[in-house]
Amino acid sequence: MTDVEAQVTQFGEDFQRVRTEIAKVIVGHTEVVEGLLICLLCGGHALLEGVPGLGKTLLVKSVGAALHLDFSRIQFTPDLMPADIIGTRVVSQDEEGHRYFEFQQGPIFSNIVLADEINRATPKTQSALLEAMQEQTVTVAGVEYKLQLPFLVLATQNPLEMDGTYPLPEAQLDRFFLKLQVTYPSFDDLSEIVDRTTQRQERLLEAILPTAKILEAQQFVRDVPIASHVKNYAIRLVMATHPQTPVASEPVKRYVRYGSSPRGVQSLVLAGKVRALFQGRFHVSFEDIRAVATPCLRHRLILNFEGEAEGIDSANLIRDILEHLPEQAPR
Amino acid sequence: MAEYHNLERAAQQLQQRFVSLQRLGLGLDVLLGGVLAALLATLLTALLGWSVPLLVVYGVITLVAVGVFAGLAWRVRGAAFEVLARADRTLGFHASLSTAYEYLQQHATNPFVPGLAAVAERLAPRVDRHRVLPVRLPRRVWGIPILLAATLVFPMLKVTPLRFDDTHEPEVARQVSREGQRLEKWGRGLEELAKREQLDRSMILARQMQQLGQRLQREGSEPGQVAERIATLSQYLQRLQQELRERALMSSDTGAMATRDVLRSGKSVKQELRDILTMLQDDALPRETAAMAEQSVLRLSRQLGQNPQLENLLQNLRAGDLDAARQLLRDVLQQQQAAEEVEHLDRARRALEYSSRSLQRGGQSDPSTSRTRPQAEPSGQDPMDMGEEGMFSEHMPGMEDFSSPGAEQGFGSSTTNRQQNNPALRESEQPTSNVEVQSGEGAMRLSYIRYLPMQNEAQVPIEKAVVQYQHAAEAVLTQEQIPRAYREQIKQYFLSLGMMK
Repeated sequence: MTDVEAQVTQFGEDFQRVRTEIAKVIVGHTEVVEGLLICLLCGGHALLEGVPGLGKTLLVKSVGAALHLDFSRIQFTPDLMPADIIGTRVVSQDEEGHRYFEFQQGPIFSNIVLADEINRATPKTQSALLEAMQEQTVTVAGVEYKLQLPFLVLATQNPLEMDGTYPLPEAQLDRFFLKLQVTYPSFDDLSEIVDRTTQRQERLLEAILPTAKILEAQQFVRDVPIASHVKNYAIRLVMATHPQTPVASEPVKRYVRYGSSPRGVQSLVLAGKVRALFQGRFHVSFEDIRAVATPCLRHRLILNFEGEAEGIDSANLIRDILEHLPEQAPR
Repeated sequence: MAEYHNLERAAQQLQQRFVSLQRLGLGLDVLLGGVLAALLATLLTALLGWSVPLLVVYGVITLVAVGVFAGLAWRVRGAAFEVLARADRTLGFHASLSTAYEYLQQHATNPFVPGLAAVAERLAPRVDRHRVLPVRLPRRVWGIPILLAATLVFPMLKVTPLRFDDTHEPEVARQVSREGQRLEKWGRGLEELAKREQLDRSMILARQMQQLGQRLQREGSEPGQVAERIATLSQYLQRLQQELRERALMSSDTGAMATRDVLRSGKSVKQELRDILTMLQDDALPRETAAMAEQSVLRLSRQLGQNPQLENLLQNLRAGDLDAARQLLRDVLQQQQAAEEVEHLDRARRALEYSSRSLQRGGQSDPSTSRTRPQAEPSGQDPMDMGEEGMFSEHMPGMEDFSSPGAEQGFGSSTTNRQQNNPALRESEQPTSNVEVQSGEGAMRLSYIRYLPMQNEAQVPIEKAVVQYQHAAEAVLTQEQIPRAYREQIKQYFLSLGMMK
């Protein structure tokens, strides 16, 4: 066995243990857990969408606990201010009685930030997350503060209660690496949830991976090979989301106003690499690209009026593209 | 790459098979094209009667096909990456072979390459080239044995080569155009003559002849269509003639003084009659003038022989009934006019028939008319090249015996008549009137009903027209000039017109 083979095997085993550990608390949601791990390893952020009570907060908390990462939770409300997230300068006094301004870090200074119901805050507050998500730094009073790595923002939003919400602007949506759909649990999962949550004993999670190993894994992932024809497939996939391109399908032409940004291809390839490693492979395959296509692209498609009016789900459009797009580019 | 033998071998084998299959497909396509070309050559040789030996043709086709195949086959290449990607797809290797090959070739320093290559090495022996690249012949290849069989069987059939005798389209177009030119010129000449003689229907027909000629020159139709058009015009002409004959109510006597008759004095009969009518204009006719008119009638009568109309005229003059004499003269002149028009139309008909026959013979001259041409005409000279006068006086059928009274020179005077000036009187060719008359009722006075609407030109409904004509006829019938015996017949005639509709 070569070194790489050993590394890949170790990688797969480590994250399998993480998933097993999270599964002690979280019932089901395997795809969401995998999506969160992909985001973590790619250095991206995830937007979780689901109705209340599906365990989104618990899920994020469990991931943090299993990975031995700091975790903070911000409940977004309409009166939440940017300083409440980033932090602010406060007046302090030293032992000699001199007063000075001191930066009080906000909850964003954490490895995993849960932005709960992000669409309830005003756009001003939402935009406070922008710099942190993209640059992984915050600037207060002209001073730049670096955030701890790994830095992962997990935002949740409730698709039902739309009154008094501020839908995320496209620019901010595009900064989320994946959009994960938290679905209602199945009967068996629900039965298991009832059993676990109504017992006296509370399950405690063990930290599986140290922070240093996660950062190392983030670099390791980027070396995963991807063949040119697989990369071309990912590019063609993203181009097919643009209604003005010749490869666009009829539904895309009809319902989509703007297709995915180049960040879509980046997320496809990176997420594909992580998935390949999860699968124990040394390279990205077409299946990896297809598997991550929906969470990578669903929030990057901007529907037109007709699409909005007819309630078209962008995930269905992506599925349609995947069905019709050939792996081999037409000559 | 050197240590990854399995991957390399698999790539080479797949490449070779890919190239072989491509060349096979290409060869079959070239063969199909060659067989098709051979079949076409066989068909053309048999149908067109080419004298080229088939073996030579097949040899040339074979050489060309081999050359084309060699040229194209030499350019066929198989990319290793492409065939490995195909193997990945077919065998479900998740792009392992192609990725390993590409990274070994281009990104050998990637830390994953050893592991990737090791996996590819393990997978490569499982590559079944026949499964990855199966032999799939396109359906069109099945056409080869069919075409080949047809190529071999067709020469055994005794096929008569096709003859394309009617393929001289430019010649046909020229001929039609020439005929159109001729018709136009003839029509122009006829119109001139009809205008001079005040022959309305002839003038209309002459214009139609010109129009037909112009259309033939412009459109260049097929000879068959041209003949059809000419036939249509001929039919129209015959209807005009028939109408004239019916309307004119001409008796057999009218033919005795044909329009072309020329007297010894050089005047025509019509001119002589007009002169006499001019003399009789005044009611108070001087005795000398009356005597002169009588002398003229007598002279005319002597030259024309026994003519009942002239006899009647003479009787009226001698009786001093100038009104009756004038009316008789006018009637005779009108008869002359009608006879002239019928004759004129007959010439036009003959001209059209000549033209039609000429087209049917492919532009050759009509032997029946060529004999009338002067012998001095140089052979092969196109009648169109001659002057208008020459053409109409010598070449237009029906004009060879045409001598328009009063037209002493030029159009209408045949060479024969000009040279011989034959005073012999000829009977008119016009048919006699079917109007039955009773003899012994005295002088017959005929009235022309002129300017009746011609066929296809009616502007007034027949019911209205008939009523008008009935009134007009009744008015005429009440006049004393109409012999009593004819009144009923004329009345019946107009009544029958109304009853027919």
